Amino acid sequence: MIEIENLTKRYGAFTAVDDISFTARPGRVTGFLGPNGAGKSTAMRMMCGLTPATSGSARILGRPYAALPNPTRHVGVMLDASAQHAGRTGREVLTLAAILVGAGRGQVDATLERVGLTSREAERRVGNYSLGMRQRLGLGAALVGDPRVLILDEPANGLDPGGIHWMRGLLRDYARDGGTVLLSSHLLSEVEIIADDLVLIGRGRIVAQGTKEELLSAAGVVVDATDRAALRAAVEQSGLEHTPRPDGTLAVAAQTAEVGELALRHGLVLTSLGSSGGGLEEMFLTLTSDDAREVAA
Amino acid sequence: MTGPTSHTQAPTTTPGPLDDQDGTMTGTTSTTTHPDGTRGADGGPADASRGGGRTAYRRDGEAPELTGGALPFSRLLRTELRKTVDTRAGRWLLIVIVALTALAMGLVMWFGRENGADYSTLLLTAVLPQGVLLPVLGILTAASEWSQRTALVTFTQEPRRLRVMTAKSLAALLLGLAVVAVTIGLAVLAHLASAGLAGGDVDLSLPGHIYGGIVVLQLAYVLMGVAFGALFLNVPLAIAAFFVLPVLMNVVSMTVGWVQDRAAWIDQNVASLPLTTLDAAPTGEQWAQFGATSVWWVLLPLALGLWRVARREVK
Repeated sequence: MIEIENLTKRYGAFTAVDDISFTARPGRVTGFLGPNGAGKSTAMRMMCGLTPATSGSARILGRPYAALPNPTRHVGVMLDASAQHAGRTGREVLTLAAILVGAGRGQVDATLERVGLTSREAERRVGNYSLGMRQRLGLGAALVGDPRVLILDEPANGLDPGGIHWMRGLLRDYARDGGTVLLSSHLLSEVEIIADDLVLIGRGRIVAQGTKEELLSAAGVVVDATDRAALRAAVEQSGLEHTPRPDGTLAVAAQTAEVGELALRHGLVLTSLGSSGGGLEEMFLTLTSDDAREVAA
Repeated sequence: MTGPTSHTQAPTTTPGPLDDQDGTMTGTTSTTTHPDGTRGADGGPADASRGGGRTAYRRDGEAPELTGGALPFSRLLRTELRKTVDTRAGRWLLIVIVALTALAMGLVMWFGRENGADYSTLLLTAVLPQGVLLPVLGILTAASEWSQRTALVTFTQEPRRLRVMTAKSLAALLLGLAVVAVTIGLAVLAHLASAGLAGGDVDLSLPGHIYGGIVVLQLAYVLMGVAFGALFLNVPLAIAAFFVLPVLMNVVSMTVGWVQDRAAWIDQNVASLPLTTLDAAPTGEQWAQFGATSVWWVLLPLALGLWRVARREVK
């Protein structure tokens, strides 16, 4: 359980994180989504007490991070997979983490296996690791204390599609066992695969949050029919907001059931009807594009 | 309490449900149980704290109880000791220190090949290169985490940063002591070998204050390294400052009369000389002078450095 209340960070006149509040719940994977520079990493560093907050609070398992006894036993943290000494072997990095949580050598081996690093890879120096391998190692270091909460900054960065799929499996199982996962990403496609709940952030502010399903349905549906002109006329008549899409289908700001009833009333044959699937992408772009542009400017 | 779920401590080799329970959680009110008897077969007191973060949420929404104690300082010290020698930089530094020590003694043995090299000469010659290199160990310990960005990990593992810095200082001091011990051992061996080869007398007698002086001096230098490392939080900068500032001090004390008159109270190079002088043990005043210069050159930068570490945003 991670509870963020009115968390704010200002650097002089610049507000990096602007009054954000959300809760990451046990049993769920919460995706913290936003363009680069939106304030995700700053917020996560504040959660872990590395960056002092200007105002507001972040509590993990009911208390501030710094008040946790031996924090990494309760909270697994990976804020930057590349922040490792290039001269240490992967096994040594895990061993150091294991000593601090009081885990034994067996746990190091088990964790290496859990994150998919072979013992040969573990003997190599981190300087020779690919980003994907560093992510696996960082995730392993976060997991070695068997924590109840995971805070991961861009964990899927540098993973290939197979790796992302693997990470989804691992984090879902972890959440199903009652763990809380908060992970950030600037790529919607990653988060869409892994997360249950979404918190969208742009320019330091939360622009949307909810379950993935809620946000998906809020993004509307995409519908197609054998008679496209009739479909369009029917939708226009109903007064629902809609936009034709380049492929000839129609995006409608409504629930699937509403559109289905509409089709029934007008005797239309629908060839497809669904939440705008990749439409979360559109929502992500809409919600963050203004912010993203201004950040880039 | 609703929906007790269990979170097994042992990472399984295959990702998957760790128990056969459904793992559902309602809201925030849930209990996690600790499967008893899973705490490792060797279950001593230290191992009782094993087993990951077990959390029990209370119904009233208070902070959940977290089992297991705080991070023991011994573990922190153990990891910091390990970190100083588990990188190539750290290992090579120790190897170079010992190699230079051996080289210095080798030279002394060569020059004393006719009559055998004195034990005291062997020992005190080795102190010189070590006084230069041991502080680098301290600098690396305190500053490399900021250059390598592993501070992000370290201060997440123990948010009490001064506690981490205490462990780092202690680790550097312990390694410094170990190097001094190895040096004394090497000096004894070198003297025995030299005396044996030259057919001279074996004489291992040495005024006790020399041992004390060497230990105090080297540990002060190690701590000065830690202080400079913490002050600059950048390895090259700290090393440069460590070597340039005392030289500047020397120049100032030679050119400025007021400083020259009080050099023993200001310049650490001057104040440390009596500590390794064979003829006589340092007087009370000389100890006071060494103490005073240690305040300027060790404790002051250390305090500033710790203040900096405690306040700095870790990125």
